Amino acid sequence: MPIAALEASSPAHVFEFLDRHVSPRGIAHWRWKYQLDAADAAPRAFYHLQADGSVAGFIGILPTVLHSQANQTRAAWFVDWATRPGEGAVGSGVALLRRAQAATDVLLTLQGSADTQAILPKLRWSMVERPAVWVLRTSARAIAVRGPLRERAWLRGPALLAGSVVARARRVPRVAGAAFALEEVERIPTSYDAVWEARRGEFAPLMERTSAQLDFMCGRYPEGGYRAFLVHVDGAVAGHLILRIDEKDDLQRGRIIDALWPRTRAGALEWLVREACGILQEHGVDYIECTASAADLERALAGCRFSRLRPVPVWYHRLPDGAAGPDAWFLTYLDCDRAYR
Amino acid sequence: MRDDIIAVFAQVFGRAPEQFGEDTSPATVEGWDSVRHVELVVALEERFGCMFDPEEVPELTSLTRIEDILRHHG
Repeated sequence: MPIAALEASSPAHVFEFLDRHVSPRGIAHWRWKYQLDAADAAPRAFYHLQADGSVAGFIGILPTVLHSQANQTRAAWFVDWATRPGEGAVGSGVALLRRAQAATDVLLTLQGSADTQAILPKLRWSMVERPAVWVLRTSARAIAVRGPLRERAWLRGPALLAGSVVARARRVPRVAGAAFALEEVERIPTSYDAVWEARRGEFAPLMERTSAQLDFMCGRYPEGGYRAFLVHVDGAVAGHLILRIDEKDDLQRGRIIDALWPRTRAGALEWLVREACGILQEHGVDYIECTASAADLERALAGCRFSRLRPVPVWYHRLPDGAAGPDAWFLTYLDCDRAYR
Repeated sequence: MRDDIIAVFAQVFGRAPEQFGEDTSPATVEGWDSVRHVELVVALEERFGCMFDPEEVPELTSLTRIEDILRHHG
């Protein structure tokens, strides 16, 4: 029973398996996600065929590079790990996980389903819970619909009134920063790669943020919705900001997907977080989320009254020699947005 | 080798060795799901000092097949 690499020419029932057992996204999504039309032939997903030709399981990988001082290590997030229910597919999941491990040096994943969290420790994987999702509820509705208020209709009126007062108090004011500015762009230009190379050392190790990678993950995402900005400091491009607005549970969710900034420049991060919140608030979002793993970003979020909502566990099967531990990894929604995972 | 494999099964599934025989398979052993299969794979690798290839892992579903694959690993 072979394990095959996913290709544009793979049988239609492989894509049907993905739509049925992973997420009903459609073939255009899978072709984008696994870059099946890209010129390079590096396989980014594998499926397990049974003797009757049916698909027993699937796993995808999102390649990245771990940087540690002078060393670079091939790494990959594994995503969309799924097996067909029933005894016939027993073992397919582990087989595919090992195939993914063989395709890279360090295999990683974030969060993980209940099954994933049960299986990985048995395979001697390690986990840290340093990254977390932070949230700021910015509308009366988002504040009022929480918890028991959902079930007690008579409380909604007073709760909305109280929520509107709280929302006004929580509104994040934008601050004037003569040295700082944002420029919205359709695509991250290739000239940004020089900024990324310079900035990477301040954040290492982390997911690649080349113009090509950011364009793939945000600019060419089939369902759209991402907004990209270049961060200007003293008139020069010094970082980037990615935002996204979508609907979740009848609320409009704004997200700070990703950012890089000059880490040693006083006030830059605080200004950037306030600008991001300002843009999202002007769009009328009900709440704002941000995934953070670094102390300076956490402080900036806390300074805007964000609260830590839930951890985002990072799983890894091994670490290369000399690599910084995952506690030090800089992670954002770029690593764990459902769109990519 | 067969006795050692059965000992691993007894340990992983928490049952007496006599309960495992030629008809042992995911269809006949209660609780043999994906998670338990992982435990079985890891326990067999530790007991026999080998590392199964990815394609071999789903094949480890009967005593005879496990014996064949372990012999292949020497």
